[in-house]
Amino acid sequence: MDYPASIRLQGLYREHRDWLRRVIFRRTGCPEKAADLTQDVFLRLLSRDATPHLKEPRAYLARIAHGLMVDDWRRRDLEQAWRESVEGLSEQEAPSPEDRVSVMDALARIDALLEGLKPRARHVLLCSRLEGKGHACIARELGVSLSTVEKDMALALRHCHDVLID
Amino acid sequence: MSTSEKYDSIPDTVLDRAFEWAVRLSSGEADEADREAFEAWLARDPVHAQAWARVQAVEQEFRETAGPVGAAGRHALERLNRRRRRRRLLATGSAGTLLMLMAGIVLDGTGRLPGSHDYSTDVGEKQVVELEDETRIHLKGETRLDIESRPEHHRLQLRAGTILVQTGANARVPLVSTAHSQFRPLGTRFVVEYAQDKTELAVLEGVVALEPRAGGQRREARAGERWRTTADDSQRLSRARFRPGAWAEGLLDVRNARLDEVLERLERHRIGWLTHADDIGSLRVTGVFHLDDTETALRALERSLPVRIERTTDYWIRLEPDRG
Repeated sequence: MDYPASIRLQGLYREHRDWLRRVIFRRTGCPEKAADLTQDVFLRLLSRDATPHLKEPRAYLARIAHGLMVDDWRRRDLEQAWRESVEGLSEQEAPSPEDRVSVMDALARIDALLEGLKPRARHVLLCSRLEGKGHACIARELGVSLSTVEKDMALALRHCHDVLID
Repeated sequence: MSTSEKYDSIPDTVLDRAFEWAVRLSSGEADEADREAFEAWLARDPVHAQAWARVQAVEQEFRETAGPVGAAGRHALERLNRRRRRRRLLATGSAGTLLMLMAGIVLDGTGRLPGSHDYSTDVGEKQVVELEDETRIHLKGETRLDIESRPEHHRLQLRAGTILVQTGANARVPLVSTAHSQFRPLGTRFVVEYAQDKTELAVLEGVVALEPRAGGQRREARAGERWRTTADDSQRLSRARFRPGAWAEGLLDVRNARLDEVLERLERHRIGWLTHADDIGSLRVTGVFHLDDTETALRALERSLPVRIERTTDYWIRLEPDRG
């Protein structure tokens, strides 16, 4: 980062840190989370090559904060859905705590790939790729034809590809 | 070759073909001939191999969670998606309410009458419209309602579905009409359900005057009473098996109803299919269920009736007789 940019960042931090923390606190209702995410917003800026000259720095900061809050909510929702899904699994079946983090990361990546995909295609792809079910079995369970399942599969894989490459 | 060049150089048709191969080879039915044909396709053109590398990149994303945690992973991702979809439905509902509140401000500010406002709800959705004089109108799922506010009263034209009207303390009278009848409340809370061939009224509090459109006899319906009206006739009904207006509290309050009727109502609050074996449809059910947690409702039915839940997937649930 060049020298003036880092000065600009320091200025942004001094002037808007408290305001940003209040904004995030109003949305999350949690003081610790507000402090953490405020730090994350400025870390995010620090990791960029240049701090842009900003006409409306607060709008810019709020937009980054919004993105981080959405990520945070998505992650929390995912973790809750995961907890509900492993409830009742035996110790052998449930992943160990060390695996847990990597499983959550992988699920978050898959979730992002599937965004916008229709529910049935999502279901078909997950049954096949996560559970290893054959197409005939999936078709039987859903009560649809084999060719419907294969069309859904192709659609779903292509969707993931387009999101991944984009 | 840079990454982006590589990304741009594969024709769409080749990519489609590559994904068709991925589907075919993972179908569980691919044979030796398929694999040979695939190898030949792969070797035919370097672009084919590049397309196949893309397929592998997608597949890699799923590999880490496959296996023992795969089923739980699928459940978690589908559960998450259902929750998001439901939340989106709710968000649509509150936008309608906001629109009506803004209409109220226009009326107060300028003294002009706002035009008629149309509201509609989707399957399993519900919506509350609050008029500026504290008259509250709950819309059940699959409902269409036009509201026009005039200085002396509100005109509510119910075109489909069910509403619960709660009049405010000093509110203008909400006159509800359907193709069959007009309902004039006298300080009250009541439910109107409109179907093609009839309209049903249930009075929860106070009194509602009921006037068939074709000029039949005017009636007064009192708290606790239910009436069915057609264009030229009205008749009093016996007590309901489903408590009228319970849906506005998010409840299904059932007294001695048939199981198939209960399941039909629960299904509207789920994504997916909820079916049952024919011979258990006539079982009788009594209880109070939360419409936003149909899983718990189904488990309660399983506990109290001789039925068991067959869960093919989360989308497809079937109730079978429990002969165990």
